[in-house]
Formats: sequence, structure tokens, C-alpha cells
Amino acid sequence: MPRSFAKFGSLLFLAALFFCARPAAAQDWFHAAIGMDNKKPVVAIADFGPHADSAKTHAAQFSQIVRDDIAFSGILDLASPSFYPTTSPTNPSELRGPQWADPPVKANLVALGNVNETSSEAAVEAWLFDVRNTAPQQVIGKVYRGAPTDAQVRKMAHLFADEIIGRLSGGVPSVASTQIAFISSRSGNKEVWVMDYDGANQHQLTSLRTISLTPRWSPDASRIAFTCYQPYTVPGTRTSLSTAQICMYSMDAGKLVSFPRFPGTNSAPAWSPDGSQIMFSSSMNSTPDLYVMPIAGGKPTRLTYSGIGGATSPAWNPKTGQTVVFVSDRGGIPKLYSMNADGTNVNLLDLPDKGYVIDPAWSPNGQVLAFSWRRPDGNYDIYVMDPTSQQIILITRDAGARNERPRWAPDVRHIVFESTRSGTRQIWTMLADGSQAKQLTTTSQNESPNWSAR
Amino acid sequence: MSIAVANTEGLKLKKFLVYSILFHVALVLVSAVATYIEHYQSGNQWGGVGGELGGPTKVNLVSSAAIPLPKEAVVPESKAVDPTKGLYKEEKRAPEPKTPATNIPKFKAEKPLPPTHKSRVDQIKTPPPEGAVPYGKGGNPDMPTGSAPTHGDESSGVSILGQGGADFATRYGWYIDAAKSRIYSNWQQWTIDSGARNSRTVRCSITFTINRDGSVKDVHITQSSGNTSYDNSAYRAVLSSNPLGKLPNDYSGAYVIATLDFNPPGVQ
Repeated sequence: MPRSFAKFGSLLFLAALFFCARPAAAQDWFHAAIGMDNKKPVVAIADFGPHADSAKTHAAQFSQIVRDDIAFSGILDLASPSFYPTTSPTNPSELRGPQWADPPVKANLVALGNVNETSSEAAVEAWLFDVRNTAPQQVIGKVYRGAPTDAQVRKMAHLFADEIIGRLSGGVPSVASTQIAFISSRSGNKEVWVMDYDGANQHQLTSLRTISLTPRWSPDASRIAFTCYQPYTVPGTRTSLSTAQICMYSMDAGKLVSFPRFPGTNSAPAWSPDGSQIMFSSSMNSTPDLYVMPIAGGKPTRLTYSGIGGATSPAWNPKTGQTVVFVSDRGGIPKLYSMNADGTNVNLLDLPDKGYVIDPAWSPNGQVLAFSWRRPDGNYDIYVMDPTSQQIILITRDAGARNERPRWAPDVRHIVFESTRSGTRQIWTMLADGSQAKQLTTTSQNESPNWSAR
Repeated sequence: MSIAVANTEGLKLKKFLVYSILFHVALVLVSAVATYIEHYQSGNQWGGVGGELGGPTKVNLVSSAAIPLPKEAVVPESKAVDPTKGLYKEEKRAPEPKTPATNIPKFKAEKPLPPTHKSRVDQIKTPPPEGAVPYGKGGNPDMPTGSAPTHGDESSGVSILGQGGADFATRYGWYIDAAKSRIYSNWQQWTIDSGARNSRTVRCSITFTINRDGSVKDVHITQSSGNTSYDNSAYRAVLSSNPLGKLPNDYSGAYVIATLDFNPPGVQ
């Protein structure tokens, strides 16, 4: 009996040891202050080292694209490459923190890496280090692989920039991999085109050879709904007219997919935030009003009864999905109205001046509304309104040029719009405070841009 | 009449006594050794001046001088209970009272804005002298908290935090900066009463928990500025920044507790 007790006792003892010897977890915390001059983190993108002769151009291309993406982000400052040390580290062991943290570079974070290339694959090893401490801390370490083409290297660079901006923004997405859909006349007809958010890779999507308008990305960026002119056969007759319809382009399939057609003029599609419904303006029952229907098909439900004034350009609040702002003429000239998503509770959004108010666009966090306003002084400009405080801010300040059709980027920081300030109608981007205006298109006439959510 | 006897003949307890004493002593020794190893292996982390890593990154000017520190953040969770590991069951919080869903505010241009209530700062008859320590507030130093000289440009403004438990501030300064700039961009200072907004001494602290996925919970005001609109603007700034970025991949904890001091805007 004593022996079995001893055995049992020692087992029990070992078990007790196991539980007690584990260290108690330290409770991690930090204490910081804000309200001081809030400066943006400074990021340096070192020249990525080519590990093969064939990788030289791609390495230079990769570094440059990441630099442009960081400079565009609006929340980071790019340390000027002219101050970088003459030899760049190509892997973490070569990184000397003080060289980058001290003047003249004065960077807080450094991105470095290398590019290796064979005839079948390009591989990029990329790191981001925090160099403010005496020992640099690794923030990101990734490997990107793809075909050794310019287009793939561009994609990989955007993905790495996404990673950097995503980590350093405190939870707001990066736009480096997003696209902008727009209407271009350069082929002779107004067709739907798509380009990267920085203006690269502009290519034509539709070849309908009629008139296409108002492209709108679905929330998952798999489809583009737009207005196009298509033959419509009046039911019960043989009459076929070319009328404005809602058309649907599938990015996955690379072509138009079918969408129900209705009598009258059907235009200005808007997606619900969950992508399950589409709202549009239709004159199927005489004057144009807003209708909503499920994407999968079904009978459209009428939402507004505007009489002669009509209703168009619906903008669905992307955060709540409960409020829709639209443009209506019912008061005599185009103004903004808001209503619930079921059509109830229509309210005028009154502005402190006269003039046409059109093109409402909700920011992705549902807090701010951008719109175009043509005031009595004749300028078409873009304004931003905070509905809760009723404050209105003028963003574009180009007397004489028309600035219209603002649409938000998913990072809530950037706006894409069309402007005639360069002499012809082109697509521009800017920060939501109006700064850093950048022209994206130059050929022919381009209008009606829409920024994809991913 | 038989009396119950504990020890019948033949049953020797002496051996058990010996075993018992031996095991007890061994247990005490092992727990002492474990504590010793754990304590000295991971280093003295609790904010000692010039800790293990040394160098200027850990020196906190505010604590090295004899200036009274702001009140330590009150951490709501019991330190004895670690919900991530251990034997103890997580104590369930009382369920929050269900509030009926509020309607989305309608645009009513005709309706005048409700009058803001007078801030307490405005009601002080004789304004306190510039830089005075607010009475009873634990003696806030009239200087921004949490700044420390770091490697590189001091005027970069993005300096390493003064205090952090278990190395978080030193290792993940970039995460803290990202969270700060996000919350700062959501701080709607126009909602603060004008008297408080122009004050140079108003300051409040908000404490909250950041989970692994970046979601923010347990937001509360740990130190009030004395002005409700100021406190509320800071509180809303944190709430609107939910979710923050995911916690760093190589961070081992399940959450981190953050305390942010909202300093008067424009005061360096």
C-alpha cells in the first residue's frame, strides 16, 4: 500500500508541477498620447536588389511602383530616394538601422528586398522594418511569385504596397490593387474602360458601338453595371427600339451577361451594400422614378413617385444600407433628396445657395456625402457634406473648369472625378481635402469614373 | 463499548508522513525555482528606467524627473484571472442591457440644432492661471505625455511611446502609431465646446482593449478632462476607429490594453 501510494503521489506531484510551473502571462499594455502635431510615418523604399541579371529592370520597376503607391496613400510620407545610402540592403542581415533612421534619410520604416528571375518565374522577397529602435523590428516579411512579366511585377508591387499601407493605416484598406472603371470615347463610341487606380493598364471592356454610361462596380468587384442602349421589343408587338437599359458586364467571364430589360428609359444603376439588389431610375411607368430589384431577377419595386420632377442618380449609404440619397427635379431644379431604402420618408437636403445639385456619392464609411454643385456663379465644383453637422466644404477650386461626378475610393481618403481643367474632359484623382490632384487619362474624352472596392 | 481508533495496529503512518513532507518541500522548491527562472529570463519588464534593452528608447523623461505622473490607467480586468490560459474559468460579464435600435437620424434642415449645454469650464468665475494643475485631478503635468527622444529625427513627432508593459511599446511602435493616427483622424474636434477646445490644459484618457483581430472593446474614460464634450469627443473617436488593424503576427498575447491621452489640440 505505501508503494502504490508513493507512485500515485509522485504522479499527482508531477501533474501539480506541470500546472504550477507554467509562467503566468504578462498583461501587455501601452500608454500613448495624441493631440500633438500628428506627423505621418516616413517610409523609405530601398532599391530592391536584382539577384540575377535578367531581374534588373523588374527590380527597378518594383521599387518605383511601391514608392509611387506609398506616396499616393495619403497617410505615409515617402523618404526621398536621393538621400538613401549608396548601397541598398537586399536582405535583413544587411540592414543598418541608423543609416536609415538618422538624417538625411530620417525614415521611421524601411522596405527592402530582392528580386530573383528565371525564364519561368519572378520571385520577390520583401521585408518592412521599423528602424526607430536600436535593433530594427520586422513588420512584414513576404515572398511574391509570379510570371516574369511587367504586368505581374506590377501586381506584386501593388500587393506589397497594400501590405505596408494596410499595416500602417490602423485598419483602413489600401487602394494599391484597386481599379477604376470609366467611360471613354477614344474608340469612336462611348464604351466602358477599366484602368489601375494609378492610371496604368487602361483597357477597353465593351464594344457595343452605341452609348454606354455610368459604370458601377458591384461591391465584390466581380461585375460592372452600367447604362447602355440595347434593342427592346415592346411586349406583344414586333416593334424593337433601341432604348436605355441596365447592362451587366462580368469581370470573371470577360463579357456582357444578361440582365432584364424594361420599357422606357432605364439608367443610373446603384448596388446595395451587400450586392444583392440593384436600384435604378426608370420611366417604365411614364416619368423616371427609382425602382429596386434583386440582382437574381424579379419584378422591380417602385420606390418614388416624383411626378414631373423625376428621380435619378440613387446613392445607397454603404455602411447602413438604410438611406438612399438621390437627385430629383421635383422642386424645379435638380436637388438632393434622401429617403429610406424602402422609399419612405423623403427629405430635401437643403443647401444654403441656389443651383443644380447632382452626382451624390457616399463615402465608404457612410459618414460623408460628396456631390457636384453648379452654383449661380457658374462654377461646377465638388463639395463634401457631413449630414450630421450640416457642414459643407468646397473641395475643388478651379474657376472656369467643370469638376463633376465624384466617386470615393475604398480607403475613404481619395476621390476620383472628371474635370475639364486640362482643356478636355479627363479623369482625375485627389485626396478628399482637394489636395494632390492627379490626372489619370489624357487621350480623347473620358468621364464618369467609378472606383472598385477591392 | 468499542472506541473508534484512528490507527489500528499494523498501519504505520510514519512513511506517509515522510513522503508528505518530502513532496511539500519539493513543490516549494520547484515553484521558487520556476519563479526565479521566469523572472530573470524574461528580464525586468515593468517599466524600469533604462531597462534591458537600454538606450534612449526606454527612457521616459516624465518618470525620471520628480514630476507627479498622471494617474495610472485603471485596468478593469482582474490580474489574477487570465482568460487566455490557466486553470481559472473566465468570469462571464453581466449581459449588457438591450437597447432598442435607434433610427438613423433624418435630414431635417428646418429643425434647429439643440442648444449645447454649457461646459463646466465656462462656468468657472475666475479662470485658473495658465498652466495650473487642475485641483483634485492628480496633478497632470502641463506637458504632453508619452513622448521620449528616440533614434532619428526628434521632430518626426512619431516618437516611441514612453510606457509599455511587457515590451509592446518597444517592439510594436509602428502598430501604436497606426492606431494613433487612425483614432486622431476620427477625432471630431468641432464637437468640443469652444471653451474647452481653446484650453491648453484640458486632457482626458481613454482606455480600451484591442483584440487579435483588431476589434476594439471595453472602451471607457479612465480620466475625465472635466468637460463632458471633450470626453465624449475622445470616446467617440475611439469607437469610430473600430476595428483597428490586426495585432502583429509575432505578438503572442490575445489582446492588448491601450490607454490614450487626448492632449489639447495644437499644443506640442
